[in-house]
Amino acid sequence: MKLLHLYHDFMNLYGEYGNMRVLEKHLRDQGMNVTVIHKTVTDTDLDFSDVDLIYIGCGTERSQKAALMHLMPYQEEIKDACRRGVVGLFTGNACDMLGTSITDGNGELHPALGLLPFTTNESADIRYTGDAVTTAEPFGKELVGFVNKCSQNTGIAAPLFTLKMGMGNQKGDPGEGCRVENFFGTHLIGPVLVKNPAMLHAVIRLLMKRENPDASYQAIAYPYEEKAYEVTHRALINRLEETGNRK
Amino acid sequence: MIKTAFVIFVCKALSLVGRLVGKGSSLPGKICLKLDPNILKKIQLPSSIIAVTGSNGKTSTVEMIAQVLKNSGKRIAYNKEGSNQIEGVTTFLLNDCTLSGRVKSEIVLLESDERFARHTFRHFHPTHYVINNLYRDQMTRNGHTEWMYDIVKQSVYEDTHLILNADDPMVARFGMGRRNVTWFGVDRLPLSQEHNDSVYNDGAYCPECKHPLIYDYYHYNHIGSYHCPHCGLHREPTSYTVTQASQDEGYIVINGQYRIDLSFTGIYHFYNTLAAFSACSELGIPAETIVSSLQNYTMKNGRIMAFRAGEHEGTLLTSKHENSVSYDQSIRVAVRDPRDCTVMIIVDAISRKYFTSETSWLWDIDFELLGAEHIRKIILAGTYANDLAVRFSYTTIPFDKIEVIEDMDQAVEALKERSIGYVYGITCFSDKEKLLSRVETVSLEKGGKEE
Repeated sequence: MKLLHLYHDFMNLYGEYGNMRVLEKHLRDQGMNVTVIHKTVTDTDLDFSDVDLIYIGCGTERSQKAALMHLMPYQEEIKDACRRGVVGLFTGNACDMLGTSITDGNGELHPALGLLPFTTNESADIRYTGDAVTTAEPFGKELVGFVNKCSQNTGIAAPLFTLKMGMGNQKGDPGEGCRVENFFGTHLIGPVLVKNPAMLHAVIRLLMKRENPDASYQAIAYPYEEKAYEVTHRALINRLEETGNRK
Repeated sequence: MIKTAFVIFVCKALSLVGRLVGKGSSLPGKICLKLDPNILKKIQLPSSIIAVTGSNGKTSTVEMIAQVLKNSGKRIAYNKEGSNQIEGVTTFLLNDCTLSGRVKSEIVLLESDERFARHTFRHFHPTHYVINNLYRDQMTRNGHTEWMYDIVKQSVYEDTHLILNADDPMVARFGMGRRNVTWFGVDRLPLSQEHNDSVYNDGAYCPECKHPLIYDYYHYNHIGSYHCPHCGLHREPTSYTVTQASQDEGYIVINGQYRIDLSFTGIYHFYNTLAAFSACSELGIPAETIVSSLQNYTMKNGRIMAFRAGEHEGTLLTSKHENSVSYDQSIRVAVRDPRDCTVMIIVDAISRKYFTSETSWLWDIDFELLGAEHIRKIILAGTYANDLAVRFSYTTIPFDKIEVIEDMDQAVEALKERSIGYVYGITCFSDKEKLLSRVETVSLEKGGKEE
């Protein structure tokens, strides 16, 4: 199984490499043979033809544009991978790369991958930061995380999550992230898969099914990972109730 | 129009009342800014205003500069930690004014918060502006270092003389295309490294043009000697330079001739001391005076404290949550100590100023170093002990030397009963009392008990 981690040294602003570490470990624990491939802006030989997963994490706004410029020549290959059911994970502002364009804080328009018909506008001086909690759809558990972005999206018809807490795709919209086929985009930053065992297991199941439709997922306990999620979830729900009561 | 004298009087009166009732220092300034939003433009400031900013080391650098200036017989006004926003600055400046509106001190020294400096310096410009570093710091509020660069940039004016760390490419950008810049830096030392061995490398790509940055050597993280073959950003030649240093013996030599013995070692402290030396030199203080003032200087800011936990002597290394560099530096102190050690890491309240449950920053810390053989035990404590445990499970450190305890009472009990050797506590201001209140604190200077 080949996992392609794109821009590992460039789009790695909030410890995003942790997502690949946890995926790799859990897949191996399931008995999978895993190879992680790292490619970055200095590489010219990106190959999407036989990868099972593509991951891009969060970067500064300027790093994201440089990564996007590097990735645009591969636009058709990426679309093709998406159609073939390859799993994609785009976290933080990598999520915005899935739309048709990003207008930066200076008003400059940057064409994006165009996997979904939405556009992104960034602000030069307003940043939306804060803890976030999603509802239990689509991974069966409420997810926890943190939003740290200066962008708003227009035109995401079917968001990946609905937020109970935190800033969504745009102001006043509880919808967060996006999805097309097995490509998942979320603005949640950092090691989201580490912090959310439910999402990690969903991604692992998808990957295992792709490899072998009869593969069965064995339940393995990762007590610290489960507890870390529970502690944060409890802290955020308490916070939500407190601030709700204050209102 | 309200008379300046009246506003100054109000500030002094409110501050006096504030001191009596034990209230903070920002309220008088806040009220005075309401009375006259332009009050800071109306007062007569001295000819030297030194501001210090950066992600790490502001308080220490300001404290050292203040020490030197006081020893030089200068009358200075400076803001203590916690009052570095516009309201606090207004309070301390107006309190130092005559009623005719003249600041009495010869030199104003400001610890400036990276995010608020742009608001303060709209009212007046510093004559000297020390910028020491830009690291990943409190990103839940600060966004990221490039975002902070843009914000700090708004506080940098043409008529201000910049004193910049040449070894930090993020900071060096402030000096590009300017003449009135003094650079300081640390030369290649035995402790310098060919490769960046931190968990992440913010120096991998040029912050100016995003092409790969070439390093001759690293001191740590993105601090070192670099150049960008694409846009030309490079480490500038330095006027104030650490030319020799020893972490083990705890000294630095500046410009080949001024040796300063340090109470606390660690390369970050080299930079703070060098920044203070550079700023004071630029103000015309003789090097001999600076050296004698900083010789074995012990910080008063309580960031390093001695304690006793049961039978075990220990040191608290106050770090900052959400700031991986500060953790890396503290971890290095424990790793450099050759004795058998126990390390306790506490993550309980991530911030003392606001709520967040964000722990991504744990993935930026080089915990792997704690795998060193002489680190015999590691106790992970506090509400977020499980997040720490998860992070540690992705290092090669064997779990048989790790204890994970959420409850602080139980964690400190374990520390007292099951520690091996010397103890290092590593945590943030927001959590340090959770350890200190449960152990005996010891004065660092005299070795006796603290009163």
